[in-house]
Amino acid sequence: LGAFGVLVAACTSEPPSLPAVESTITAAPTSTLVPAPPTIAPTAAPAPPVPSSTPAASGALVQAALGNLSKTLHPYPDSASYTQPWIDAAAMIWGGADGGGALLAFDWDKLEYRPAMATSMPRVSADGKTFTFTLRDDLKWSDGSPVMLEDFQFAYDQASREDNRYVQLDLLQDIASLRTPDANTIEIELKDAKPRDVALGLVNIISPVPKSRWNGRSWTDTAANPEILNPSVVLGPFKVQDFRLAEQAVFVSLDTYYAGKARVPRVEILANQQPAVAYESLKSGRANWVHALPPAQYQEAKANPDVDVKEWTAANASYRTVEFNMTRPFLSDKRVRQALAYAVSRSDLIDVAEQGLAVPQYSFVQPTNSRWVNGGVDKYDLDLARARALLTDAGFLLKDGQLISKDGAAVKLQVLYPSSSAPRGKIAAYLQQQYKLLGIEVEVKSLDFNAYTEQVQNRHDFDISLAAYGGGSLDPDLGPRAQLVTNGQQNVTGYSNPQVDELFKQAANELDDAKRKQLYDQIQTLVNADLPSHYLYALKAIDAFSRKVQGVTPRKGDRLDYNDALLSWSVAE
Amino acid sequence: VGQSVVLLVVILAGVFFLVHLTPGGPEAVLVSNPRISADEVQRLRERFGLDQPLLVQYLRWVANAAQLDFGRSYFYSRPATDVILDRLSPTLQLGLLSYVVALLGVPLGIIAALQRGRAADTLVRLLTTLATAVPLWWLGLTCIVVLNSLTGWFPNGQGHGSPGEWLKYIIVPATVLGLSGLVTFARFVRSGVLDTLGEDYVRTARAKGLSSALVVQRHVLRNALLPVVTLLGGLLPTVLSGALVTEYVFAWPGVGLLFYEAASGRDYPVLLGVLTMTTFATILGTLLADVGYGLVDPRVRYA
Repeated sequence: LGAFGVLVAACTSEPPSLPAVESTITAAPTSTLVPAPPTIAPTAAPAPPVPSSTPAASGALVQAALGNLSKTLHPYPDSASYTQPWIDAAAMIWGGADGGGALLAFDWDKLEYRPAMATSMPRVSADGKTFTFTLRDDLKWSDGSPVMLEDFQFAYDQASREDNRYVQLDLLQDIASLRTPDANTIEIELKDAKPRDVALGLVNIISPVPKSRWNGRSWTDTAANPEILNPSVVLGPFKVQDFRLAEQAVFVSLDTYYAGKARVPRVEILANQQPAVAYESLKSGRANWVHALPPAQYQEAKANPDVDVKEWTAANASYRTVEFNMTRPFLSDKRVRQALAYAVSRSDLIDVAEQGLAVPQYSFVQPTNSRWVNGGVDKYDLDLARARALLTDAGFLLKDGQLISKDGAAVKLQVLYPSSSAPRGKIAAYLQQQYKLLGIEVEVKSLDFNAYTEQVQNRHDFDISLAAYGGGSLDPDLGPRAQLVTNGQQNVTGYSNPQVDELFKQAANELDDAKRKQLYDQIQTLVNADLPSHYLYALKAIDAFSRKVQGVTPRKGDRLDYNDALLSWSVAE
Repeated sequence: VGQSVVLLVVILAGVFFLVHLTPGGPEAVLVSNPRISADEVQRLRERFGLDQPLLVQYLRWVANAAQLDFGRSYFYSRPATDVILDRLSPTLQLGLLSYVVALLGVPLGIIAALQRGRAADTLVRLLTTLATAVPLWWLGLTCIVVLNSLTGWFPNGQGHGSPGEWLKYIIVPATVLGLSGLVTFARFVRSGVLDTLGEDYVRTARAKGLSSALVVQRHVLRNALLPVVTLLGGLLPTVLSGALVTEYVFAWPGVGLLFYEAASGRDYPVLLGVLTMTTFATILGTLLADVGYGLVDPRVRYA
């Protein structure tokens, strides 16, 4: 094991005998920063109807999870703990911002905010900086005690402290103050006015923490504060019954949750299931839900009469791109990048790499993100003749099947991707074949995910990188911006266009949503013309259920259990 | 013992530097999250002590490791020792039971040797060849498909509650894990018994009129089983450090799975903690095998 470990850590990737598990670079997991409707109605629609208060008999929901469980159950995690498993667990016990655990919830049907713990949408001051919420009067902790305003104040005070290491501290620092002027009112003031989407996301970060349990205890030390790993009082629809980090988590439903009691009495999550094994668990009846079913099991699952496969393309779907390192002389020429794009057929690639489970994407906004996508950008569909013409125009010569540069050297490229992603390996092989048609010799290289990230993100030492983004927020300011502005944190291509920088800046400060949309349309057009990245396709989300699980309906988000949807699921005994 | 200590120190130094020189530290993935700023990543590096020169990190690690303090896991926010100890019990259970499975190779080897050229020998040789050729992960997956999905008899994961429930979960991964040991034992023992059967002192024993059973028991097995002692020592690291592939395939919550997770996420404290334990177990196993060999074979002691 020792020698093997050094190999794993020091050389390449997973051991060859271990089937690959996909890793992606994602935007911030969906938490609070999600877009919202164009205007704020002072008295918005009330929260949707709650599930039945007298649940029908139902069995347990058992999910075979492909990854780990969250390593903490802290309501305000640090950056090392802020993972998708944490978001999943937080949704169960704290409500989560996509459920009912914050003042507002993001509605993944309408792609806008709705009131959650607040009775209505906030009143907004004339200067657009102060948001006033009225708290519902039926909010309870799992021990039956009422949720108090001081629980919000306590959470805000603690999470704002730098030494408490909250992952979204930088966002909290955009908040000037949180006040509780009377028994059921919260006033949150921002330092600066922000676009509506961003502002609501900011004020919605704060969710309560039971002060009676946490006050006087460490916020970060698991040994000094057992609540961090095993919270005794929670807010959400479930509480923890059993939590074995490497093994399984068991949550049981509560009747104190203000949005109603879940119909399933118990949710079990089986951790670390190998993809093929997760599906086998579903077939055998050990589990009745597999989230993110691997494409390898898709066809069989579809043909299995006992399995109900849900597939949809989320508005915030994960998507794949071909990133060009524009600091490389060959790739610094826009015509070359365009030629490489014209050598690719998205539909072939979707069939080859994703078994048809994706939809073409033409800009940095997913095609299903109806809020911000610009459908009129250049598409760069397969056109080899045009690709060759562009290369000739750029001064390259195709001779004896090899592309020769002006200085007489044969053009060679390296395509880099993380070895944990089997589909990206197939994309790399496809590009190798297609670019060969242009006379370009391609070397394909894979690295383990951390080494890949280090080489691409930190050292920018690559020609072409196969990346995956997506998940999280719909707002271009909160994801793609970091990839496209000069020196942006995720800008690995070296792309720099002052006009794009300026437009992103304007869009971030534009309070009118219609004008923001125009700005982002313009940015998409500019970026597609410059083509620092060739956007390929958005992936379909696939979940598989036993037919016994009822009440599941895909929404526009990438998770089926957002928005307390899980409350209305049931499992036939 | 002195040599073992030196070996431990040298190996761990090599492992420490190899692990730390691997591209992509624990903070590499965080950079890809646009919500985590470069300042926050730097703060994390300082918190983890990764901003220090590598030599300083090493000396600090040695000083702490000497007191069995391997630092705090980056992702569990708990002492690495506690994280590893949490996983040790499932690994010990699996390892010890796989040891028992592996030891079944001893009687199989004896039977094969005594029945040389007959059906039983052919069967044992066929099975051991098959077991050697089949990859462990494939065998594990097949067992899961057949024994879990189709029959539902042996679910994967760890069983809790009654001994029957415990056995239902552990028996398949333990069998798969113990299979390579079983094959090794069967082959070594078969070969050892066959060699011994041809020795002069065995012929002499038979000529003295001893029954076949007594000849085998007193003169053949005692000598033929000597190499097995060495193999027993070699299995110790597996028992303590877990089996990565088996634990991964069967979602067994042991040290092997933890190690894989730590290696993938570059959780250096946990990674180095597991590697230290494994290195120690390997050296200890070898040492015990040497000592044990000397105890059972006086010729080694006299030499």
